Amino acid sequence: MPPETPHNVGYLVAAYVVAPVILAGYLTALWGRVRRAEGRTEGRKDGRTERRKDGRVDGLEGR
Amino acid sequence: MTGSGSAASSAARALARRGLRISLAALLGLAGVYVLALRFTPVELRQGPAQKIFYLHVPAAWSALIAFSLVGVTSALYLWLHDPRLDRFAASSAEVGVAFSAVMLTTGPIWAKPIWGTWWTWDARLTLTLFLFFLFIGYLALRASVHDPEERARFSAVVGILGMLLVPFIHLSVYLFRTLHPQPVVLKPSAPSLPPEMLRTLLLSTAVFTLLYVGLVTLRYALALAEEARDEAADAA
Repeated sequence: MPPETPHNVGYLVAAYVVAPVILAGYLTALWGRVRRAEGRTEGRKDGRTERRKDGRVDGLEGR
Repeated sequence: MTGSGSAASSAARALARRGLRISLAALLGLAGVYVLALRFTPVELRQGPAQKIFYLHVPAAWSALIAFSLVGVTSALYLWLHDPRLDRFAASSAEVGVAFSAVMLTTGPIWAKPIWGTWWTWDARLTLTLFLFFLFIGYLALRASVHDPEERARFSAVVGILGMLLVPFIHLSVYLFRTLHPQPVVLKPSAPSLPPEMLRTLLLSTAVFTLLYVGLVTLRYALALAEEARDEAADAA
């Protein structure tokens, strides 16, 4: 690079880290939500239930 | 679980796997974009390496604005046809659009600091984009707070259409108002004003982000289907 070109590679690195963290993080969260929704549906189908930390029982809401 | 509920659950599962595969392929493509941008695309002499943030920021903005435009189009179609698939798609596209907006609104200031000397300025383009982001956060909050599916779809369709109306203003804001934000280099009446190596990287990155949009919307649509199957199972129990 010519000497007059600014040296700001730190900003480049920051942006190139932040973008995939947001996108891969969203993908991971979305996949987790899909798995939980599928699990609860299957739990109801099989008559299985699961007690959550708050004491409520998954698979029984609405009954 | 009813027969239709079981079929919906199976369809959701198949769709979710397809969405996951497309999204993972797009993330792999993003790794390829990184190699192309960092190794094989020249450094812009006046802006330095930070100019390469452009190859993430512009495609993220493209995906976000496409996502929000499609929310508006499918919302308008929902109000006309009352097809729940349109409402499901609008909800999916809005959520994915918010994720891409988050990328746009973080990479933009990271680029602005070394180039403009400030992280943020309240000019028309940036302010309208932030408003659009907040409007769709409100859209998602509205969806979460209304429990009747038809009411939820109708109310959120109106907000979705209003959000879409902001998109052309955001694109044209650099022409309509005095702004620090650079003018478009590709989506403009004249030919793209970028060297071929930079244009190639930008177009490839835009294609990868579009593929990621398709994958994430497919996965989010599958989630909506799975949640409906779950609710149907609860009602049947």
